[in-house]
Amino acid sequence: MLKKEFVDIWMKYFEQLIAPAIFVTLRLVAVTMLICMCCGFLLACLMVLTHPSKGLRPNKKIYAPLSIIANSVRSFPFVLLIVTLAPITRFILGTMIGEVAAILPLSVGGIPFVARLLENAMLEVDPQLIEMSRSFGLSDGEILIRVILKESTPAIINSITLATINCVGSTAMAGAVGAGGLGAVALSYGFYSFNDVVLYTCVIITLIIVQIVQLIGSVLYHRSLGKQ
Amino acid sequence: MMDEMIIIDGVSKEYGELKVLKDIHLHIQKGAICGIIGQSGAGKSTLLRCINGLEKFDSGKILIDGVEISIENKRAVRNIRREIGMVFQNFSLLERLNVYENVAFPMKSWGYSKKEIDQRVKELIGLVELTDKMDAYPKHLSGGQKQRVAIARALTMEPKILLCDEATSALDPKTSESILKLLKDINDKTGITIIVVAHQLSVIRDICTHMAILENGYLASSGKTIEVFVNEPAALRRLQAYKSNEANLSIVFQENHSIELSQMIRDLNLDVNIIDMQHIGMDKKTVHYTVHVPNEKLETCMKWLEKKKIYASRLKGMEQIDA
Repeated sequence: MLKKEFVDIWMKYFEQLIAPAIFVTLRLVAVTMLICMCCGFLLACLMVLTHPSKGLRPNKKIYAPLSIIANSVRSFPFVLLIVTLAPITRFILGTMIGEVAAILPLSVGGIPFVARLLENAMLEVDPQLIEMSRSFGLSDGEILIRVILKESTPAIINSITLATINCVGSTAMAGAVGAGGLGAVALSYGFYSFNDVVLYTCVIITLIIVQIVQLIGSVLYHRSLGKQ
Repeated sequence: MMDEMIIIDGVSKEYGELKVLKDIHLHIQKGAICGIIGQSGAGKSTLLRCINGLEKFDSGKILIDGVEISIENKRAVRNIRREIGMVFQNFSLLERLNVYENVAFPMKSWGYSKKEIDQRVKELIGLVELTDKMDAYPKHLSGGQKQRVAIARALTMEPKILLCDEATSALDPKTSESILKLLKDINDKTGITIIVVAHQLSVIRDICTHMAILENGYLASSGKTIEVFVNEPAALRRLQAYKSNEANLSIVFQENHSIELSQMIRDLNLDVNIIDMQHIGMDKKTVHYTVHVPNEKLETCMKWLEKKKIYASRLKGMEQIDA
């Protein structure tokens, strides 16, 4: 009897609270990662081009500010970043709470992170290969695409996987300030309401999401290694 | 003038205080295999990189087939690099591409048609005898095979010049010999000018028609390999394994004529102490002897050798050289 009651309550919570929250979380992660990958990739390319010692066209004047911004944004605890950015979020989007409003701080926090990860992945490419490509008369742009991107693809996939998992975590945190999603449900309907069922269901679902992301990442990584 | 492929005219380069190249003058003929040798840090790799514009130099000029390199003009430098293939010590293959794709890499980047690429790549993979490894990835190749792929890749754009930067230094002696033989064959077949940078004298002896010795950024000696060996300038002797002061005569016998050494010994009733003997060229037909003959017989030896038209020269002791 007790068991059936429990299942019924759980189903109710799941259908009305948790399932919609899962979709919110997935949407937040997907949109944020899309923005982070596009912007982060462009920034990473710029940093790889201008890196003072390993860059294709070393340029300290461009690299230094980029690097400082990337470091300072990344050193912000994410909760504080959301609060700090609140006025800007309100100015741009008209509101501070909700799914759309959460995407801005999530992206601002994520872009430098992704950029740094991709930059590191790309700088790992053997400098000898770059010299080799130069010796065949390739331009810097061609070297970036044909050599650096091509050779660092497995490392880039790993970085994106890491960033996505990180983003799932940040999304939960963003829930604390009104973004919704699993984090918000776990906190307000679980933790603050002394409802362990909701809390731990959310925790387990978050774990599963992270596992799935990692699994997809690993499969893609191994596929990218191919026969080499 | 026309048969000079590379003219290096007074090239100097410095990194801050450190002078890496000091007023280098070197002319390299079309079709020659020129070895550049020296201790590590002598500036040989830097000189090689100046030739295809990978490094800037501070003064002097370099002409490739009559065209002066100016590193400031990016398009011109790219076009010159197209005419110059390069092979590296660590092979520098793209790990994520197979043998075929690695060889095709330069042509693909320059936008050749698939058909042209396919024909040329297959021909070159055949030339380096790796047809059965066409789909293999670099990870599964031996060092020698990797260097063959790199050589095929360097030849795809039909370059006029092939630069080899310590191309055999990472290989065992036997593999190294097969790579050198391949380079020699390519030179024979296509007449391509090859520049080999090495720190092992054996590489120079085996395949180089000409050689240049760099010491601390200076061009210490240069010329035809045989002539440099006969004259044994101080720079060469510093690279040699033996450290004897006794040697006073250097002789090169060509075309399997080393039998004449014993003839000379018999004719002149000599006591000869052979201090060093080495083959020049992979066919082992040319032999270089460094010997000691009694000083009073040196003059007669020289006359005998001159009459037979055998390359020879008198040597000074190392103390005299250093002084």
